[in-house]
Amino acid sequence: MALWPWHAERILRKEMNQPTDFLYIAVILISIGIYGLVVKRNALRLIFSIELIANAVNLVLIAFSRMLPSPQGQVFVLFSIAISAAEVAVGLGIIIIAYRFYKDIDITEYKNLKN
Amino acid sequence: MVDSIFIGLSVITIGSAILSLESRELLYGGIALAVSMLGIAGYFIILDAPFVAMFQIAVYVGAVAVLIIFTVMLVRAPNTITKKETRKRKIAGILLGLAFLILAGSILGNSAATQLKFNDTVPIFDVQAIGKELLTYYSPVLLVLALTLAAAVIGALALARREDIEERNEPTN
Amino acid sequence: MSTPALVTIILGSVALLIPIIDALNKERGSKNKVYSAIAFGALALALIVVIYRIFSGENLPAMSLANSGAIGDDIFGAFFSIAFLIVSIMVTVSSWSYMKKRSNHAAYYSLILLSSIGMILIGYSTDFVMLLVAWELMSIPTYALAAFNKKDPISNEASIKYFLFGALSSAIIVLAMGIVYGLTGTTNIYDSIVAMSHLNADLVPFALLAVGLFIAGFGFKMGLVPFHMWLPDTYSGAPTTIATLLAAGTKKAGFAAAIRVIVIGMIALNVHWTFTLAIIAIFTMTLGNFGALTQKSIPRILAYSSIAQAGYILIGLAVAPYSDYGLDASLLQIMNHAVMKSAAFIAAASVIITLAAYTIEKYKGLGFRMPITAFVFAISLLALAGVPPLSGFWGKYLIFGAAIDSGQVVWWGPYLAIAGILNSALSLGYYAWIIRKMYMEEGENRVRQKEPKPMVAVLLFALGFMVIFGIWYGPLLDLASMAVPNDLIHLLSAN
Repeated sequence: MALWPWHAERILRKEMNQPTDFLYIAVILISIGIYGLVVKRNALRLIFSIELIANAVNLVLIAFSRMLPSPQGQVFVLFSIAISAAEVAVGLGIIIIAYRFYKDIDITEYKNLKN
Repeated sequence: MVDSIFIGLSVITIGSAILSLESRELLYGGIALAVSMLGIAGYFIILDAPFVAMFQIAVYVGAVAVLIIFTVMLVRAPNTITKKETRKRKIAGILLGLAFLILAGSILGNSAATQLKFNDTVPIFDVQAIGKELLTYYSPVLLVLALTLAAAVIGALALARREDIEERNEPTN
Repeated sequence: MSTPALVTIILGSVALLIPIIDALNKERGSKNKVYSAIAFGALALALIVVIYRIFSGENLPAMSLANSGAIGDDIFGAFFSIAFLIVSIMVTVSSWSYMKKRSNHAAYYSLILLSSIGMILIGYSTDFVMLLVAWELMSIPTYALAAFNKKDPISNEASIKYFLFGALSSAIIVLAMGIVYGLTGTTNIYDSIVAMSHLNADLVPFALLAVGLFIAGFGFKMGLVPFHMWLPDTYSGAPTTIATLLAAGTKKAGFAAAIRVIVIGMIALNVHWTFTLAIIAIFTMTLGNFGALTQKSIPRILAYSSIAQAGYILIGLAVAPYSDYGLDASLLQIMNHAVMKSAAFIAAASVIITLAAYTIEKYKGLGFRMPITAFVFAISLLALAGVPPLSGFWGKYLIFGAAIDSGQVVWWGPYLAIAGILNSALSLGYYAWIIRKMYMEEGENRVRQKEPKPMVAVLLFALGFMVIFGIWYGPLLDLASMAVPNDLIHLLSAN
């Protein structure tokens, strides 16, 4: 059972961190993601931003799971991680095809649809 | 002790998150993203979720980030910083990000949210508890997840398949 | 065995078998027809199963919520399944001719089947995690399908936009679900709604944030107005049969999720966010119709008109707490719109593969060159505009009726109906313009073209649906009102 050295002992102490600390970190990460989505026009940077938001959301879920406490939040995060891995695999495939067309991955180059 | 770990993790996570978007080279951005994901895994360990932390390292850092870095190396774009990234757009981005930060921060900062407390007397959920949830209540979800991953594999294969090779073999009618 | 499990097994095994057969198959040559027939068979079997389960005498609840586990078996889900399966069957059969000249058939049909499983499971899911995974099962195949014309940069661009907005919307949905989970401690939709109705007053801002995030996340797929920027580009750039699946299928799945989560949740919470939905509905209708007026390409006009149609459906959701038949009307319109929009897009696809014509100018004289396609296209446009006695009329009539009915409780109800009627008149303008081009103006020639037979069959089926259920709308309306959990709504709004 001693898979983890801290298995028997709790890492988190009552007097130390509170849920809001983790939620603030998540909010900051989401703000960085929003900034990236607005400013960046490189398709890969946009995926970076989306991944940052997804990670922050997972942090929110785990913090809630620890606070409540219930294991369902952890299961939720497992599903969420698996799903975003699948999503990124398809998305990167699309971006590589785009690179074959334009030799660039800047989405401002993609203007075919504006008529 | 724990607090210093928390502060250190925060600096690493947020710093590398900013770096992943602002680095000059896209490749360094990808690596910084992987570091940021590792930082998130560190938070998971602090929050008594070691199994999820392992999963995060294996899937996010080990698969997603590596996949992204490979893609970055495949699509060596000549100019990684574009002229399209104008000052106007940058100001709008900073303002929107700050707006969300202040909105969510003010919701968090009010008295109700600060009442949320971690409970120290409950047992830690280990792999057994998670596995039990996965195989009882969430078992249909697990089966659907298998279909989702199959869909991703079929979709990615269909996208990656080279058309020009295939066409030579197909009869033209 | 419950209906969703049966349907998932039927469609899932066929969806996974098709690529395996393709990989084992050594002989060269296109197997398009075989795969299309297999996929059609599986979808038809699933449709029969779903319809049989409704009328088999087992007492299915309207919306199974309490003690249901991760997935329920109810008439609400069955109603949406019927709509999704009809759309998928129409797409599969018309792909028979659309995919003839393209490659990679096995993956194409397999992805369509997987995506329809996702849509069906969204209709049935009673748990947030199930909803999320089903949402992704619906979305991931469509990202790949939208980029299926690999030689066409437009298709690729459509897919990139769709993927970026889709990935963002799923992150937003997870955040909203996470906040609800944090407030209530459960991921079951019904349990969390019940827990939310006893929420500590200090925590209400979090609940409001969650509702807003849900509207944004589902709104991206539904094409509601601040979140619609990707939609015209994607619908017009993706292969036209896939655009059918997106407009008639995934958009309706967004509504299924929205009714399950937002509408029932708001009724229970007694939160007056319905006014927000009403404002979004008005903006969505107006912007969609004005956008359609300025376009020249037929797929783009259809895309903007589908934005407008989402606005009409949203009226029914906005007045649901105040009028007993708001949700019935919305469900009826969802079913009708699925068939009408599929018919319009498949007619456009038929024109594209026969004449390679996209712009409205090329549609001149189409009534003589492709008579059946042009006739069904005209009928479906009239049905979309809501001309009686076609099926689109009854949905709109009931929606506007419900909006006026809700005027007894809320002051803005009748104004919604007025806005909807004005918008219908506006939309009739550009629909009539297209019909005029097809029949009144002289095109290049009057040579009758050979119309692709599978598409003609699909279009005739849609024509039958639109005319028969336009005159004899009773059965569909009964089915829709069977799917609405009225007793549950009364129970929730009472306390």
